[in-house]
Amino acid sequence: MEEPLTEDLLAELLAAPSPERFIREHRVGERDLAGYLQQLLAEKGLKRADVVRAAGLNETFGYQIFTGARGASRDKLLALAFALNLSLTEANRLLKAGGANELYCKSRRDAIIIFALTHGYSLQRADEELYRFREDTIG
Amino acid sequence: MEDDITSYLDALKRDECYRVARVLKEAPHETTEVVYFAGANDAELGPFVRKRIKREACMGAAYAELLAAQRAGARFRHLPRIEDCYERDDELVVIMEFVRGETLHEVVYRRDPSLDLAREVFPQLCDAVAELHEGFDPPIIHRDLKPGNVILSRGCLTLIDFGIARAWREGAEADTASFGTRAYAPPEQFGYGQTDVRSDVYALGMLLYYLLTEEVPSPRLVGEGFAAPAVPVPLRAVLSRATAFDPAARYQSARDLRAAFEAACAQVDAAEGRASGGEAEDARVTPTAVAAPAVAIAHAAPELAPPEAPAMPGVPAAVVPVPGGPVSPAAASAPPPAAFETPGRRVLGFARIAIAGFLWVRLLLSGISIGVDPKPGDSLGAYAPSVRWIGVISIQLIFTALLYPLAGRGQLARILRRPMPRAGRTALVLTSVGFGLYALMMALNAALA
Repeated sequence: MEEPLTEDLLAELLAAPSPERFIREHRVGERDLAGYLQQLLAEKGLKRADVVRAAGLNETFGYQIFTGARGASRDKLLALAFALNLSLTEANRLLKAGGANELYCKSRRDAIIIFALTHGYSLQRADEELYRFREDTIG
Repeated sequence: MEDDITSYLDALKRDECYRVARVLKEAPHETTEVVYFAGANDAELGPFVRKRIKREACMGAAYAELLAAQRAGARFRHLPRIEDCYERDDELVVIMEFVRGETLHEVVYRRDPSLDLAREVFPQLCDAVAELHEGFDPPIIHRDLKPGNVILSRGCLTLIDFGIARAWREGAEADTASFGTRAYAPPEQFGYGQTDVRSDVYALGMLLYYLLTEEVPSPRLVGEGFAAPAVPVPLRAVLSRATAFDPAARYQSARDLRAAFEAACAQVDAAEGRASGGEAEDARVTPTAVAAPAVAIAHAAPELAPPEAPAMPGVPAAVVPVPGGPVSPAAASAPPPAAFETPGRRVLGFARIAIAGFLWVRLLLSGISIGVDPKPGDSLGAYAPSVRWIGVISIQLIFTALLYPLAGRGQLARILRRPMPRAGRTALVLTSVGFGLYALMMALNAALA
């Protein structure tokens, strides 16, 4: 789904009867998890099956996440972030879309995950590093 | 690899200990703050300058290189000491020393542009840029040399703000991102090719012109070969070559530019028959003797670490700013200054402000007494008190206006000749209003007589 241009949104916001209704109608600040995942797949030119496999998720489970039938836990979302090779901003958006907390560098585990993401580690390598620093692994 | 994450986590721990004292600059991609490092027992270390650069801007790589070189033992006279450089979230954080002093912009404004100022500052400036080019392989190109990025203090010069500096990459056709302040950036920085050492030479040429005139040259002037009255003839060729459009036509390094500049200055001296021998030679003995220990102290002071042998044996042993030529009238009573700020001139400026302020207060007090208690037999009749107040206020305004030029920040002629700084404009407005009111009062006086 293409996001409406900011100018269009602004014009509508000014014309809308009330801000609450506008927010509800356009779901400002909310992103649909399945929709965002599809968007990322399209942008990066990846196939859902490959991503699900790389993230180490069960096939059916992965399919259901991408269609929006189920939600995902924070760790599963992080696994998807690694599989999709996301940047830090995109990963944070994905987490927020899935209703989880964003990556916070003050938490030691999150800091290591941020480092791994920004340096392009694979999920496996990230797990190794997490294990080495005695934090809970993702996968 | 393992060390990377450990040092990264340690850096995050250190990051929590900084206390922000004030924000110097806030831009969308970069924030600059003055910070203190908080230690145990409420103790603090600092101040430092902390720059936080957004990762997506892809800037700031030069800081990491500078840090690596300094940690390896290189010492730079003209570059700031980088304390720390690490990543955090989506930012690159750089902690560096807080360089005190005035920017070149302020110094030129305060001291007025002249050839003498250029003689003091420009060789050091070329050395600073040469340090950046020669101290690294591949050379770091600053790409943002402008008056705001040069700090002067106690006979020392420091380059700051390497945000857009980058290392020269062999084979790149053009820079991936174009930045820089338009006036001082060479043509290739806007996409015609890759920037290299000669791009900084171009900026140095612009800075030399700025030192001589406090302005950036218009394209027409550049085309005419810098034929401006403020630029001595021998220097025009130097400026033209330094700011040539084609990098191949410019001086190929900052050192070449410095040598050419000094040769041109020698020509100026020879042409005007001053400074190469006789009495001027004696005049130079005193400032050198004064300057040498000052520079030695200034050199040792910023480095808190134990002194180490410089890593660049090529640097000339004594780079002492030797001012030459006639001394400006304001400092006529003191010997030529070795440092960029002269205590003598500052005292003189404050004395002027004090005298003008004293006159102002005296006049105000006498004005109050006149306004409140008009003398009998007054020709102004019933209007006496209010008309007298007009006169009083007008005199106050004129004297207030006099405070600005008297504060030593520039003569009235200079204020009138070019785009006025705020102080000059205020002074002129106040003077005009004051005189207008005074004229009004005189007219009223005559009319009601």
